[in-house]
This record gives sequence, C-alpha cells and structure tokens, in this order.
Amino acid sequence: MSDSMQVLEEHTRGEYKYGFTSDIEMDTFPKGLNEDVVRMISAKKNEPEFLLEWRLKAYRHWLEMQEPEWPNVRYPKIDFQDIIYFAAPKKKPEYESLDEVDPELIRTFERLGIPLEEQKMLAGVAVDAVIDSVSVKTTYKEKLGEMGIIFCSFSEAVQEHPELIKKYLGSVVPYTDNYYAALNSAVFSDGSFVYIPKGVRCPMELSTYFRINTANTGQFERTLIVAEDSSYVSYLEGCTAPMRDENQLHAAVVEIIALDHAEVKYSTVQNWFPGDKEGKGGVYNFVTKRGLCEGHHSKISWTQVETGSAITWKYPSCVLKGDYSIGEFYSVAVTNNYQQADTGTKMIHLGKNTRSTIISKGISAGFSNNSYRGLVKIGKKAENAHNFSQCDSLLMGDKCGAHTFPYLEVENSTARVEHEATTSKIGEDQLFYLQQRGLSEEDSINMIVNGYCKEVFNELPMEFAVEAQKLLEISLEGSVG
Amino acid sequence: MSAETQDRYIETKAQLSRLFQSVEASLNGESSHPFHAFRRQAMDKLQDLSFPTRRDEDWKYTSLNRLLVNEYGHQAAPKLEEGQLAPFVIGGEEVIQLVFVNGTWNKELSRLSAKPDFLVVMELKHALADPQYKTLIEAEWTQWALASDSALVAMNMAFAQSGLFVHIPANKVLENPIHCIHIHTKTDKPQLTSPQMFVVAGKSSQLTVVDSFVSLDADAVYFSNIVNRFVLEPNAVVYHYKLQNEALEAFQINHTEALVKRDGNFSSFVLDLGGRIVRNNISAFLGDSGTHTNLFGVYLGKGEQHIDSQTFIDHAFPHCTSNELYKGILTDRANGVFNGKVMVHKDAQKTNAYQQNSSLVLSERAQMDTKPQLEIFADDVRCSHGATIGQLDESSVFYLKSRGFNDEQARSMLQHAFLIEVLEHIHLDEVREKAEALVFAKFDS
Repeated sequence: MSDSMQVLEEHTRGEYKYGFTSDIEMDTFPKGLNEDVVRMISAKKNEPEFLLEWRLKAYRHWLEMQEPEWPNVRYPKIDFQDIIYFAAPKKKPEYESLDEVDPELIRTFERLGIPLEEQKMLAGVAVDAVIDSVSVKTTYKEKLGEMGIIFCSFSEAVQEHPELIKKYLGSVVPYTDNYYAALNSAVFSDGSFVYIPKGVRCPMELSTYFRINTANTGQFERTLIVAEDSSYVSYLEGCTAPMRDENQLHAAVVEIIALDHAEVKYSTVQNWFPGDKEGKGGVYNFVTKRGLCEGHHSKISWTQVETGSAITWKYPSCVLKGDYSIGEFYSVAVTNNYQQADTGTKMIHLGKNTRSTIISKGISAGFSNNSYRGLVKIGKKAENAHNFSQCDSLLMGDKCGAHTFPYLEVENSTARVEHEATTSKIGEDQLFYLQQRGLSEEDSINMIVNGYCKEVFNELPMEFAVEAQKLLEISLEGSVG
Repeated sequence: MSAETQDRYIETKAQLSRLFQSVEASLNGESSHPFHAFRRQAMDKLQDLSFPTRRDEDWKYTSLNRLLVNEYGHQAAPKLEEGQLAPFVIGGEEVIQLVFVNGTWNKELSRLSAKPDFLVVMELKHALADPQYKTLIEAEWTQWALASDSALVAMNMAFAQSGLFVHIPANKVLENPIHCIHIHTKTDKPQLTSPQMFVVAGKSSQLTVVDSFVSLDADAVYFSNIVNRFVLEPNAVVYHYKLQNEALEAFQINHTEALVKRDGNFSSFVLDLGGRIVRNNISAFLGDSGTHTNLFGVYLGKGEQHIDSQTFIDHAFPHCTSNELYKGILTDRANGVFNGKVMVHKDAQKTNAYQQNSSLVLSERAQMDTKPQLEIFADDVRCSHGATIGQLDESSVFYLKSRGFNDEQARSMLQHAFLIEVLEHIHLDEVREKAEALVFAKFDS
C-alpha cells in the first residue's frame, strides 16, 4: 500500500466527532402510525380544525402511495410502524434569560460549538434552536418583530398567524407530491416559519439548528418561508446528530415562496450521523425542498454542503414561474465509508426570461456512492430561458462510485441550456506540485479539495463557510485518490 | 402501465402470434430448418417478454403505442428495376452492394463482383446450416439473442426473413465498404421487416459496413425492426454507418451492439433523417483493455418526427477510450431524445470517456430531451460530458448578413456548419458525400 493510501485510510477512519446523546426528559408517543396518532399530534399542538383536516387528507393519501424505488440508493425497507412520531422536551419553560434554560441543553449546544451567549453576540445571527421537535428558544425575536418579520416555530405560527399558514402551507409542496412529503404533511411535528413583509430586507441571517435526539424518533420538520414583494432574507439551516445504532428517518419539507422582486437565500450544512465505518446506522435524510418564484424578478438560491447522513436523498428545486425570476443551486456533497447520496436539483422554467444556474460538486471516498440527479425543464411558454449546469465529481479510492443523471427537457426553441460534467481524481501532478512546494500530502489534498469546492463555499454566509470547511476536513481530510 | 396500454400490448402480441402462424404455414417444408427452429424459440420468448412502456426509465420519452397499434403483415416483395435503385447507390463497381426489398434479399439487384474470396457474405439462414459457421453463430448470435430481455430483439429474431452474416478472416483489410440498401415500398398492410446482420471481424482485420434505409414511396407505412451485432476480435477495426432516410410515416427501431475485444476499434455513425418514430439503441461492450470506440450521430427532425438515440458504452476493462458526439436540429413539431450512458466499472482504470450532445431547437413547438448519464466506479479515470440545447447564435447570423448573405442563407450556412463537425468524421469520401447530400436535401425539403 502506498503512503498516500495509508494517509487516506487513517483519515477516513476518523470517528464522528459529534456523537453523543443529551439526557433531556422527553414526552413521547408510543411507536406506530395511524389516524389516531395524527389526531393526537394535532390535538397535542392545539391546532385549528383546517390543519387537522389537512393532516388527515395527507395521511389518507399517503396510505395509497407506494414507496419510491427509483433512486440510486440501497437500504433496508423502513418499518413505518416502528417509528415514534412525536417527541417533545417535557419541560417547556418560558425563559427570561439563559440561566433558566436546562443546563443540560446549554451543554449540548456548547458541545455542538454553538453556545447561545456567543450566538447572541455574534453579529447578525438569530438562532431558533430546535431540539427534536419543539422549538425551545428563539432569540432576536423582538428585534425582528419591530420590522414586521415573523421568525418563529411552526407551531407558534399556527397559533398566531393561522391565516398565513392556511394560505401558504402546501402551496409549493402539496401533500400529494411524493411519498415522504405526504408522510411529513400527516405527522410533521414542528419546524420554522419565516415571513418577511413587503420591502423589508432582513438585517441578519436567520438560523435554525436541528438536532435529532430521542432514540427511534423520526424527525418530520416543516419549514415555510414567505418573502413578500421586494424583500430579502438569508436563511441558514445546519444539523448535527448524536451517534446511534439504529437508522433514523428524517423526512422534512421546506417550502419557499418568493413574490415580486423578492430574494431568498437558503443555505444548509448537513452533518447528520453518517453511520460507522461498516456502514451501520446513520440517518436517512429524505427531504423535499422546493422554492416557488411566484413573482417577477424574484430569486431563490439554494446552497448546500452535505457531508453527513447514511443516505441523502434530496433535490432542492426552483419553480421559476414569475418572468425574469432566477433559480440557483450550489452544492457540495461528500460521501465516505458506506454513505450514499442521490442529490441534485430541479429547475422548472415556466416564466419568460428566467435563468438558472446549477453548480454541483460531488466527492466520493471509501465505499460510498454519490449521484447527481437533476432536471432542467424549459416549459412551452418560457421564452428566452437560460440554464447553465456544471456537475463535477471527484473520486478518492477505487471502491467508490460517482454517477450523474442529468435530465434536460426543452420545449421552447428560444431556450439555451448548457450542461457539462466531469469525473476525475486528484491529479498526481497537482499533488506533486504542492508537495514540492513544501506542503505535506495531507495539506496538499485539503488545499485541492477546498479549491475544488470554493465555487460553492463562496456562496455560503461567512460563519457557515467556516463550518463547512471544518466539516469537509472531518469527513475527508487527507483522502487521496 | 395503464390498463389501456396493457390491453393494446396483449392485442399486439396476439396479432404477432397470428402473423407468425401465417408465415409458418407458408414455409413449404422449411419449418424444420434450424433457422426456423430458432425463430420459433424467439417467438416463444417474445410471448414471455413485455414491450417497454414510458414507465421504463429508458423509454421515458418514447412511446411505442403508435407503432404497435398497427396490424403488420409479411407481403411478397415487388419486382424492381435496376434504374429505381440508382439514387441510393454509393460508389461504383468496387463497392459490394446488397439489396433488400421489403426485408427480402434481392439477389438480382445485389452486386457481389467486388467481393474478395476471403470475405464471407451470406444469409444467416444458410450460415446457420453450414457446419463451418454453425458453432460460431449459435454461440455469438442465437444464444446472445435469446439471453436478451428486449421484446423488440425477440420480435426481430422471430420474424427475420433472411438475415445477413459477414465474416472477415484475420489480417485481411476490406478497403471498400459493404453497402446494404434496404428499400421499402408501399404495401397493402403495413410491412414488418426485420433486418438483421451479424458481423464477425477476425483478428487485425478491417471492415466497413454501410446500411442505407430508404423508401420508394413517400407515403409508405412500415416498421423496420433492426438488430445488428458486431464481434471484433483483437485489434480489429470496424466502421458501421447507418444512413436512415425512411418514409416519413415509417417506424424504425435499431438495436446495434458491438463486442470489442483487446485493442479493437469500433466506430458507429448514425444519420437519422426520415421516419415517424425512430429509436436507436447503440451499445458498445468493451470486452478487454486498449479498445477505442467512437459513436457519432446526426439527427434532423421536421414535421412530427420523433427521433430517439440511446447509446451505452460499457467500460469494463482498463485503458479504454471512448468518444461520443451527437448533434441534431429540430424544427416544426419534431421531438428529439438523447440518452447517452457511460458506465465505468471498478476495474476500468485509466478510462478516458468523452461525450457531447448538442441540439438546435429552431421552432416553437419542437422539443428536445437530453440525458447524458455517467456511472463511474473507478477513480483513475477522465470522464466528461457536455450537453447543450439552444438556437443559432444571432451574432453569427448578423456577421454573415453583414458579409452579404440573406437571412435564410446565413441560417442555413450555420446549420450546415453545425452538422459538418460530425459529418467530417465519416472516413470514406463517397460515404461522407452521400451523407452530406442527404442532409442537404433534407434541409431543402
């Protein structure tokens, strides 16, 4: 075995650094799913009638649906009756200050590297910390409230702004959309709600940290972002999860609506537990994310850094309905050991003069499989639509796989669609060059991989870009092709 | 599959079964011939297989409904004069010319005078009964066909009329092409033809085959269901050209497969101009290291044509290269589909695969669906693909106009230039000239 291979071995053997469980008392339902459970979730959260009806409709529809099998991922069948559909921290105190918060929770955040005190002081980040399913703490709420911005947990929004929920829930991802979206619609526990009023530019990055905590608890988050005319918001979502043996299902739904001239930037750093070296355990991340550029000149931008999860299966999409609207997708997906990722995007051009950009960087190491699957569809009426896609894959080691499945469907003759993809490994000559300049092999590889991902990292907000680089190092540093 | 489609396909199979029986009844004692025994096996196989529907990933953009709804027949071929053939001929006496009329080999119109003695060109039917080739054909053709899970391949085998077997021995080079002209005429019932060709190129041999698909009657309706297989022994070089200019209401399904052994070199060129629904399945299986594969394609869709090109290159061994270039122009309400799949297996290190698909969509209602697909399991490889869908560059049009061309001339010049990039890869002058003439005639129509 060459030296470089040894370095690869050492580093890819690195343990998951965020593996721990916090002992906060939980209020959980028994395992299993039926109409009663759906009713119980709704009753527990004191939801209005329309929402219960919607959940039940979704549940009944879900029963008739088949689990999809087309993605390029392999996993044992999920027993949906073996999942706890609701878990909430038992004590839900109303805090005046951080001192009153359960010290165990504070410790959890500290180990995650996001102490709330610091977060408060860090300019421009409000944290809506979600531990399992119920929001525990929302900061900066008052400050945002003054500007008319609503940033709260989904359950709060249901209580305080039912008219907005009724109007927008399911308008981008209807409960009939797909198997996991239907399941989420029936049993979603909580999530975040953001509303930016007309003409308001949100002054800070809105951030939510998700954590899966209770054993065997599926997380069914629901995020809804509504940006009114000429507004702007940048939303961050980051996740880490404790180490577990059993697979955990995460089936979230994110909906974004951007009206005239509105701009929404959605950034994700995903680092759920990827399973151990043998591919045991790990999170199933089956997420439906979709943004609707409803108004003209609106813009939705997805940036994601996917390093975790045993299986990642998601396609953040943009429906470009408004004329002159813009969709963007920047992604870095890293798979190691036995991880599997089938991710990409859908850009549906419906309006005139719409533009979209796709930059996807895949890195596979170990025994993992990394697929890019993307659809660019130019509808009949989408005059002068323009798409540019670039999907690059980097392979490290000879036991991993990289796949691309780009679908380009063009129904309008004025469209311009460009797609390019490459697959390669880190060049021996690049490595040699850096090493002869005095860098260690490991540093050289880090530098090359970071350079390879730069295009995407540049799109991330500052704090996230740092975290993303750190994650990339943990997942891959020193991997040699 | 919708219940309606399912019913239709059951009906299609019943109809094919009736057709098979009527063909069998007219065999006059030939029914015990090994070729027919194989046809019957294929027919049994067909009954077990189902026709692909749009639910199948590889058939997502192409529906066979319109094609399978017809009731097809096998009708006797009409007599043709040599003069009727003239527009389709390529080159002169030096070219080996084989003529098939409505699927049947017409020996009078065929010209084998240029055939060197070492070259074997015979009907598959006879080759299968010939002890010299029997084992080879059973191993590489009949067994291969029976192992296929494609209903269309089974259908071709079941309804094959004569089939063509070409064998070039080791260390021989055939400079001039073998030209197969497949002529169709208008028939009472839509004609089902099942052209098939099995080519074996011996070690270090070289061979060129040109297939022309043409129609004497512009409004003829028929279905050409083609199966070709090429086996390239080590270091063999094979060029295969398909110049397809079928009647505009005709259907064509082309299943072409190549098995390329060590250091072999296979080039396929597909020109699709005619046909109502055209589907190509071109696959190259690289069976050892050091091979090179070229896949070229040009498609020109007008009216309501639907042209689908599926290509598959299977890199299973190291040090192989492949190069793929497909370009096309779509106007009116034409549909184009391109699905290029490149598979690089775990051991196929040092693979270098390139793929490019570019389409011009020139009218409001034309549609192009492209899916360039890479599946890679080896790390030391260079694979890239590109796909573009767009229009003519307006600044280029403007430039030409500023040099004195009118709008129409400027546009047609740019379209020619767009396609020439592929056409210039045709290595024989007479074939390239023919292809260019066909493309330009289509432009002008």
